[in-house]
Amino acid sequence: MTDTATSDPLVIAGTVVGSRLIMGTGGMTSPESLTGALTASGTALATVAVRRVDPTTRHSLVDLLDGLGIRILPNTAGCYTATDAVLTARLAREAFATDWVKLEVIGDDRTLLPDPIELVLAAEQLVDDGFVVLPYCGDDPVVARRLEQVGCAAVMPLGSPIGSGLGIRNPHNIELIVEQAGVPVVLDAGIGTASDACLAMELGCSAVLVATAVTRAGDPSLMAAAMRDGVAAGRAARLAGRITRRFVAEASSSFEGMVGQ
Amino acid sequence: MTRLDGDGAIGTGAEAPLTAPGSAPVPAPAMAVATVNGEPYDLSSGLTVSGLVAAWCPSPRGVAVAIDSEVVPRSTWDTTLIEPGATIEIVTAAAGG
Repeated sequence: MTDTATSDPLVIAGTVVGSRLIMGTGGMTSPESLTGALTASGTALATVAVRRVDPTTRHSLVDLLDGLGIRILPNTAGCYTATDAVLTARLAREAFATDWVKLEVIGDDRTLLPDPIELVLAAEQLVDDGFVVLPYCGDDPVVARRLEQVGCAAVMPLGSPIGSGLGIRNPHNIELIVEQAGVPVVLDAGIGTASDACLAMELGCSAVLVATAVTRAGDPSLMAAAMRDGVAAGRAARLAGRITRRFVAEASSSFEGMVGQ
Repeated sequence: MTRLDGDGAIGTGAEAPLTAPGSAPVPAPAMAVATVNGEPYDLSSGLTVSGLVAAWCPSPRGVAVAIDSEVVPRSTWDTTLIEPGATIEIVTAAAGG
């Protein structure tokens, strides 16, 4: 598969990211497994959560990502309020020397669906504080528009709940979000296999973010490579311009020159 | 902190030293304690954020500190003292997101 990370790169907030496959580290079973998967994915950007230091841990996730030349995207995973998300983002900025943040503000601990009210509040505060905000949001085009209006650098609608592997439940809404967006749209959450990532790109998303589908796959490195190919195929198909859908047939063979006419 | 009194009972707080009748007992100094990552932590005198991070982390790289929900800039770690009663969070990257 052609590598288009340089010829058709993902650009966010004026920064060339490259690969259109963003990786999440959540669900990693071992540093070795994560290293293999990240390498196979070809990713240039990976999310990390911000958590209390564990004095017994030997390995450093920061060192692992730096060693692979992958940019760190801190995530406010686990936050239920704008206040907590803003503090977490500020801690992350200090820890990792980056203004970029994936903003996650959860409204329900069973579905992990975002709280759109707290999310927009937090996004506004963080944009004002100089952050490059990439908000994880529901597939509601109105909320997506609101997030863009308050200055987010991208919008990241879910396909389905985090870790569910249910793929894109509402492709129509994703298309609506893509149609109205002036910033990159990143399909984030619920991707289960390569065809889901491919569909996201065919719908016009600029990138996808995948975590569980890779980290908890039977063979994470192989699935990461499949995701890489799926994203590339979907992107090429989108750029190629698909045929319109028809209710009935349109013959692909001309009737002219047929025997017996 | 609990201590055994001379008669074997469990007491709390400072012991009462021998003093002359009529004078007030002088309490022993309490250990300075802050909360670090949700747990009580005994503070040594003059402990700075730098010192605390060195005690908790193999490296200060990729680490951030908040005191009472305010982020402490790395440039001030050497000069910021940990006060008794403060709530400290020391964080780093973990798999997630």
